[in-house]
Amino acid sequence: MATNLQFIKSASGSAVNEFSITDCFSANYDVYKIYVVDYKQSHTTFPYLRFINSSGVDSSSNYDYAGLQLWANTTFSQNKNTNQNAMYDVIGYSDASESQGGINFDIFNAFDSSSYTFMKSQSATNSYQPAVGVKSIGVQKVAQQVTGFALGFGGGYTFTNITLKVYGVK
Amino acid sequence: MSKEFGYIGKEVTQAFRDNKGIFTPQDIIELDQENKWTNFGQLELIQTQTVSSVTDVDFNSIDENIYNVHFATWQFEKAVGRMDIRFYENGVIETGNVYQYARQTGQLDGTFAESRSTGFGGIPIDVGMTNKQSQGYIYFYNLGDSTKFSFASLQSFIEDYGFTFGSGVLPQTSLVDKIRFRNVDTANITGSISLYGIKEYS
Repeated sequence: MATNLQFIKSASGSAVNEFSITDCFSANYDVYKIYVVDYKQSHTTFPYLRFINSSGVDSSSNYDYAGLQLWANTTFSQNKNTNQNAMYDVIGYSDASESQGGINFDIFNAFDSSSYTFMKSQSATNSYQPAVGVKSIGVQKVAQQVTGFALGFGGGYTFTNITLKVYGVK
Repeated sequence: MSKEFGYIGKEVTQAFRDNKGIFTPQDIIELDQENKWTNFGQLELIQTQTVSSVTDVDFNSIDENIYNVHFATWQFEKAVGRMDIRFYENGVIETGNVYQYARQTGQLDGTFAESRSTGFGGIPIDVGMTNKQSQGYIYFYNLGDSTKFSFASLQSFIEDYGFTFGSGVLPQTSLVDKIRFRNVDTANITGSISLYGIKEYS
């Protein structure tokens, strides 16, 4: 069979602090492609990414990540850390008043209980203008079966609305 | 194509996610072409253009009413000059210095550099080398949504130079219905560009 994207599920939410997408990773795929196609936030801050295992959203301190934030109007910023309880600031953020932007993730080895789960992403968004791009990598340093993921905020901020699509790479 | 699909004396209506009956290979091909066959293959080729010695490549039919996310790949042979992206809004190309972009380049000699603008004539997709090959990909978001800005993120590699990646936006709400790959220096390019849609289902 030719290689292709295969649709798994779509999910939408509103007024949610941590948006969880459950049961989207399985033994059927090693690589997943996720597109965030529409989202608006209550506050201009970078969302975080966490993974979901059999116990729920995993907020243990085992996430490493690194990224570059590319700004259209000022010097770029590096973002990196180790042993955190989420991958912070690894995707772009939207203007608080408008639904804007596009984000894609690649997730690797999520369902493989003998492997760490890896992520890379690239974003194109705006934040009160001008544009910002984010390119990131990350890993959850736990060999466990990951079945889903969550995007969220600290500080009580919320997604006003969010829609994303999950595909398997066959 | 018979519309009975194994049912005798009864026409059966087919729809995506709702296929009933017995199907021949030809039935499947035809239903797939009519988008009535349940097939979750989601990277759908819109058009491939192979060009020789042109300065611009326009995609005039991008199915922006079907796809929220577009994906394009390119390969330029012996490219000369810089390349960028311009959008058509309701059939009119935006040529003003209104595009915003930010990109990072990494050269093979170890040099890294930032490039950015909040008022540019397009979204740059490579750095413009002379007689070098260039390959890359780009995602487009929200082109067909007249209530949203149009965004892009990309990565490319240029022979004997290195890589570039970045993002850009046409920061005005409009319906984008065509895409131009432009040689900024009006030099000739030769190569191929493929445009895909990422199909969605709710």
